[in-house]
Amino acid sequence: MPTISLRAGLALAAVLTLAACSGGGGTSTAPTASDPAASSATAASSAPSSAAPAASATAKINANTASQGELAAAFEAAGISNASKWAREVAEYRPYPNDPTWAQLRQELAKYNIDPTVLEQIIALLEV
Amino acid sequence: MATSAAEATDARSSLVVIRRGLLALAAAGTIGVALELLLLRHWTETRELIAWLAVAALGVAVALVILRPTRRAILVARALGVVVLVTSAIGVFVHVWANYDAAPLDARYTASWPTTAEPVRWLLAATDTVGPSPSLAPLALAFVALVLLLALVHHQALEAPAPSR
Repeated sequence: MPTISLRAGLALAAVLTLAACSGGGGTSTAPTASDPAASSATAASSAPSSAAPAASATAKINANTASQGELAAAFEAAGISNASKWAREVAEYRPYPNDPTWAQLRQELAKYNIDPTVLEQIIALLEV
Repeated sequence: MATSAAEATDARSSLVVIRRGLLALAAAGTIGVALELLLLRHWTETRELIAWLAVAALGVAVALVILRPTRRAILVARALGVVVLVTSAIGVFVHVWANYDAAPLDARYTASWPTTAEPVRWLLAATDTVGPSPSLAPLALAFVALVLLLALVHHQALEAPAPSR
């Protein structure tokens, strides 16, 4: 009887462990989308160590007066992916007030579900 | 005989009430869409102005029917309604395309987008899963245009014989 209880306990523990490991996938409706999200999040978390110094080393560019091409070049130089698309979006929502929090830009770019790291990289390159 | 004449009068007055109601709905819908576009700041890109042109067309059409319901005005209003219907369909495609174009910017899809199958890409864009544009929002214009066109069915100005030249 104790052997059976031990086996049952081990089996229960194994089932619970498996369930816990796969729990995150239960709520996902798009496996192809969630996996890249995890990988991009991982990439994003490791990105600041290499991208942030590049951004800070680059001269800031005026968000209100720079051309779309200049914005794209600055983003490209900072290693931001889809630089030209982000440059277009930044240019689209001009003019920006002299707000150190960049609330307006944050609000507009949030509509695209932007990676927070990319957002900070973009803002680090801009000035008004 | 008198009964049928009374019924015809009743039907006619009912038709007038329904037509006026539909026109009022079209006018309210036009104002509502204009307010929505205003709140959304729907003018940051040139192509976004197309929606304003459609609203203007609806406004002109409704005004023509209410203020100057001549045969010619009704025909122009109908034509404008059809143009807005077509514009609305184009608007849906433009919204879906904008979502498709913006999809790589979405942090959840940046890595997987290049390898995502084309039908899945369009499905994600059409269902607003990616991108900032509400795909079906332009259909609000189509709804108002349809209400307007419905108000012009068998309009009395069209029933009358065309003026001879």
